[in-house]
This record gives sequence, C-alpha cells and structure tokens, in this order.
Amino acid sequence: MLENNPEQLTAFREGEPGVLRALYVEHVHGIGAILRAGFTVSSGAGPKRVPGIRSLFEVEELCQEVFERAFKPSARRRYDGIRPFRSYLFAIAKNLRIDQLRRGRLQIVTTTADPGCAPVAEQMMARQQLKDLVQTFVRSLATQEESWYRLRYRDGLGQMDAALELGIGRTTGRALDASIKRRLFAFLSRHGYP
Amino acid sequence: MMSCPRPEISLMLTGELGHANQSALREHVRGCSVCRARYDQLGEAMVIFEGATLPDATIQHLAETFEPERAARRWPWAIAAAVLLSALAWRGVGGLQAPSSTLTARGATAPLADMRVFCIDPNGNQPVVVASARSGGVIRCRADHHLQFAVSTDASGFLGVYSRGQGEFRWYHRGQSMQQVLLGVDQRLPGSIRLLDSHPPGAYEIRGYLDPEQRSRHWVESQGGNLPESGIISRVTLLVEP
Repeated sequence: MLENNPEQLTAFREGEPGVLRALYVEHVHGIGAILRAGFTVSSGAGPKRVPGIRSLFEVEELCQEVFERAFKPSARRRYDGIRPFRSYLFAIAKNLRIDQLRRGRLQIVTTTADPGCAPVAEQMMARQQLKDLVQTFVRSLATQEESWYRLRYRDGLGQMDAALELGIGRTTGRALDASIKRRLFAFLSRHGYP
Repeated sequence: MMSCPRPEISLMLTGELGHANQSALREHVRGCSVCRARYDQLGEAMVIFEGATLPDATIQHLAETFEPERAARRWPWAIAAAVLLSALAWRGVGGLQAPSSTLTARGATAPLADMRVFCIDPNGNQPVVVASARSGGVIRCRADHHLQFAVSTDASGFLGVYSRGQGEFRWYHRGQSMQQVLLGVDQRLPGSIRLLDSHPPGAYEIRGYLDPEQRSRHWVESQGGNLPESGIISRVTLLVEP
C-alpha cells in the first residue's frame, strides 16, 4: 500500500487517520499470526526460538502496541517507503516481543526443534475438538445465515458488500452477524464449552 | 457489583458493544485474569468461526482508535440526533424549552434507544392498548390500567427502567436486575405493571438507563438521581389519572 505509492506515503507521514486505519486492518492479521506462532531469531550462539503468545487478548494488546509504535510521528517520518511496510512492522513486533520476554525474565531458548515451543498434543486436540464443534454449528445455519457466513468469512467480503449481495441493509447485516455469533456461543455452551 | 467473568465479554466478540463500552471493558479485562481467560476461550472459538487470526469485532474496534471519526460514521443516527438536539438546545436559549429527546443521543459513538410505553386496559374481555408513547413523549393512563414496555437499541447492554415521582422510586422489571438488551433486537420487557396501588394519580418521569454492566435494582435506587446522564437513553412522562 505504501511502497511505490508516493501519495499514500505522504498521507501516512502526515498521519492521515484513514490511511493509518487501512494499514492496521491490512496488516494486523499477519502481525497477530507471527506473535501467536512465535518466531526464530539469529544470534551469535545459533538460532533461538521465541515462543508464541497463548493468550489471544495478549496478542491483541501487543499488536496494538506494534501499530502505536509504528504510527508515532517520529516513526512515520523514519519509514523510507522502500522496504515493505509488512517487514517494518514485523521487525517492531519481534523487538517488542523479545523485550517483553526479557522484562518477564522468560527464556528465549536455543533450538531449532524445541518441543516446549510447539503446541502440545493436548492443546492441539482441544483446538481440533473446538474446530469440529464450530463446523457442526456452521452446518446447522439456516439459508440466509449460511449465505452471510459464506460471504463474510469464506469469501472475505466486508459487512456492506455482504449485505448488498444478500439484498439487506447494513444494519440488518450487522444484527444478523451478531445473532449468528450469539447462537454460536450458546451452541458451544450447550456442548460444554467453555 | 457484577462478578467475573463478566457476561458482556461475549458481546465484545459479537460486535454489540458501542466503542466507549468496548474500551471500558477492555480496560477491565487488562487487569482481570478471570475475564481474560473467558475472553481467550470465546475468542478462540470466534477466530475459528471467522477463519481469521484475530476476531473481526476486536479489529474493527481497535482500528477505530486510529481513525476515531469512523466510529462516529458507524452511528449515523447518533449524529443526526446529536445535530437535532443541538439545534433544539440552541433554540432553547432563545426562550423555547427544548423537549426531552425523541431519540436521545449519548454522544456520537454511543448507542441510541427507542423505548415505547404502552398503556393497557385489562378490564374488558381482551386487554386493549389504549395509549402509547415513545421516548420523549407523554402517556396518560388511568389508575386501573397496566403498563408495558418495549425497547430497541443499536448497542447491546443492560437496561433498567425506573421512575421517581410522588417521593418514591419505582422499578418496572419483574426481577431485581436489569434486562439484557441486544443490538438490533426489538424486545418487550416481560410482564406488565399494575398501576393501581403503586402509582397514585400524578406525574412520573420514566427513565430507561443503559449500562454495559448488569446492575441490580438496589444499585440503581442507591444512586438516587445521580445516574450518569450519558446512560439515560430514554425519558417518558407518565400521567396517571384517577
């Protein structure tokens, strides 16, 4: 978005709110993914594995810190517009995560295949069970709900576009979305989760 | 005070809290390990459902911190109502008293509500609605009538309907707690209120108060007349005639 686009880069440097928001929405999933999964860094003593963050809330909080830092006026001026913005954000995210671990006196372990960093079998099984439940719920959706779900979360349309496709208003779309999600939570609760 | 985990945590993930309420709840979750664990559990289900890394509702909320004007655009009714109210308030300076709102804006990013009050005559073969009023209106009922309420909001939360008048606090719910209301869902408050015995002839201001937290009747009553104005989403004047 910013690379090779002088107008966007100027707007970014000036802190244009619409551009900042668009950058956030474009990159937040990527930053979230790397913070959840963990990453490897090189050091004199060989590659080191930085563990991922288990808590979704903490991932969101650290993501927010990454963007707040990248969007500071001084950081906006420093960004050269040549290297990919995504890499620039990743560098900030990795540094923040390493600082966070150091502050918490947690170890960054030397490894290429560290079992402590990989999700343990129990967690993987729990996630798979949850995934199965969610899929069962999705299969139970009524026609309009299923169309909304497919347009929004499989085809990736925004709320406005999904509502247009279905021939409903955006507010109705929002209400439909919220209603499906409420029922998802109720469904999970009936099946003992969480 | 509501115990943790707070039931509104799920609303953070369904996108049903207004921006201000969502921010307040996130602040709470930051310092509460019980609510954070709940958020993580529900959030995990949500990201699987959405096929994403982070929940959509959270991203939309956090993105608005970088473009606050967008939060205002998401609630166009609020802006229209705020402009209308500003105009009425300005006219009020010139001697015209601005009426209490027909739609009450709670700020550009806050939800709106429309509360309807119905006066029911239960004395015939079938109960009959004999009068109704919306937020900001006046409703006249006889002492032997009953009251019923319906409400719609464009944010979820907990609604408390109460009045003060003739020196007493009155609570218009069956139970002792506020009623959960959901975004975009037009819902009737359960039960009807018998005016006889509880409302001597006179005037009462019925208020609808929306809170992100579940509150009790006792809490509302204990606040006296000092509930935050930002939470009062509706006012209806009830005139009880002999």
